[in-house]
Amino acid sequence: MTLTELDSIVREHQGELYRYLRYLGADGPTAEDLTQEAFLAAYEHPADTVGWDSGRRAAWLRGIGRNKWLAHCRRTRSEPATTDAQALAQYAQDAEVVWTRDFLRGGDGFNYLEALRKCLELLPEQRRQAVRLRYEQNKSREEMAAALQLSDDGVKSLLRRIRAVLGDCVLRRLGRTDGSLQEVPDAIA
Amino acid sequence: MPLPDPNDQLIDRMLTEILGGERPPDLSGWILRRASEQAGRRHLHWWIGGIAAALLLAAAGTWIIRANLAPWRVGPQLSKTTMPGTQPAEIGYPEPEITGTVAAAGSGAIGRGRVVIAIGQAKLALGGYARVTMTSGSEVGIEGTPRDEVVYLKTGEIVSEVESGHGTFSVRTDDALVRVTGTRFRVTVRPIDRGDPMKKQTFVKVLAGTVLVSGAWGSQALTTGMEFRTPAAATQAAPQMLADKEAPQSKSGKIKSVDAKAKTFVLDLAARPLTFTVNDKTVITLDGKESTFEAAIKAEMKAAVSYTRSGDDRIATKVEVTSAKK
Repeated sequence: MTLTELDSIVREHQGELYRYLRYLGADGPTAEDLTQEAFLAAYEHPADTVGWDSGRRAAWLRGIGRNKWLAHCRRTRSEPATTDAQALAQYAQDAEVVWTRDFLRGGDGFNYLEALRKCLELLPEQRRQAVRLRYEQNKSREEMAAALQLSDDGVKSLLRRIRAVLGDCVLRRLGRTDGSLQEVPDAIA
Repeated sequence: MPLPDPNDQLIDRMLTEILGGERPPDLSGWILRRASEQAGRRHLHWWIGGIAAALLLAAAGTWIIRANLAPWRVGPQLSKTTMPGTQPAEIGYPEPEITGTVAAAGSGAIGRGRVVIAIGQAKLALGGYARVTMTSGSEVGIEGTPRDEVVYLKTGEIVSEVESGHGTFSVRTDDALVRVTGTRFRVTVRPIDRGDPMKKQTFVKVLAGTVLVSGAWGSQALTTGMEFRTPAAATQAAPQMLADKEAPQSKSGKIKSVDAKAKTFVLDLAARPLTFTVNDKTVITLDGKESTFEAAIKAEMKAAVSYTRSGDDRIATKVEVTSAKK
């Protein structure tokens, strides 16, 4: 692989690879480091990618990134916290399935993000406030509990329920990959 | 602690992007620079290997010739023409050469992996087949490898002349890649508006031959006389790339070493140690109270660093040091 080819691959895939590593659980600086390392590994040990389409190249790079992340977790025993290497590898595999099946859906994830934006607008006000406190204002669980007059565990459960509802709403809007047709909601609880 | 559910994690991630405004950063410059350094090291290893092989063969040759000249040696003489080649494949390849006055960060010879700023007009010769003329103030990184020469034009204007049949040559900018095999062309990078020097646009004019310009916006082949500029939308197509370069990031760990003269320190991190530079604007605290570089930043102390990137450097905007006792 020449530097020119590497440049072209980096420009095309760096955004998705970084996003994918963040999704797996890497924090921002770690995802940056691992993205760089993955591309450098691809440059050092290039596969014969002639004839590959963009999706296949992206999957190849995700594989390299995933292995880098697993090695990082083993080294630091963190993100997400577990000491069970087998469970971690299984989690990474499951995460890859969800990423390609639900998020990418043969594209770049744009449709998923658009659907999620629309679903957010359908949330009742109290839930929308919880989402804003957590994701927009980056409030701690304690701060959220005070603002929403809930216990710590109550906040945790509320956020989990909201994410489940949003996930369901997104898949309804996009159509589930098993081919079943579902009604697109105009409001969600 | 149980592992997260991937479905839950996906929504969590995307909400952070949509509402928290987190965007993937542009790492292309860093990756290309490190890859270029790797390639340079490989090149150096070939040289060292080649020289070692040459010395070994010379020693072996001397021993054999001496043995042949010895009175007890019986058998055919080793002919000069049967001596195997001792030159590594890349030994004859010219190193980058600069004429004119340039400024360069760091010390050592100017070569691959370095970034130079032309003071007055300067010329850069690459591989014997590409000649780059830099106008005063142009900032250029030398990034290529033998027969795949690449220069990174951060700002300014360069005119490149490339002889065909010797290798590829590319000019990389923040929003375009201009690739040629034999031609003469000019590339200019300048800010779109004076108020924001980060918003730049690339202009290409082909003086002779054909070039291919590509970027996030697509690609465009140009022939002699044609001019092209990257769409202003190209910078908008990747707004995160420009914006996130300046977005503060943070790391925390134990201070490994301190260079008081250079006002830098190394933080020992799990992935690898990183160097941070402190300047007059850096806010330094020690156990929550405002402090100074000399008083707070010491080896073995724990520190949380917020920083931005400037070229190769990580500039600390805030350093929060916790003394060992805490």
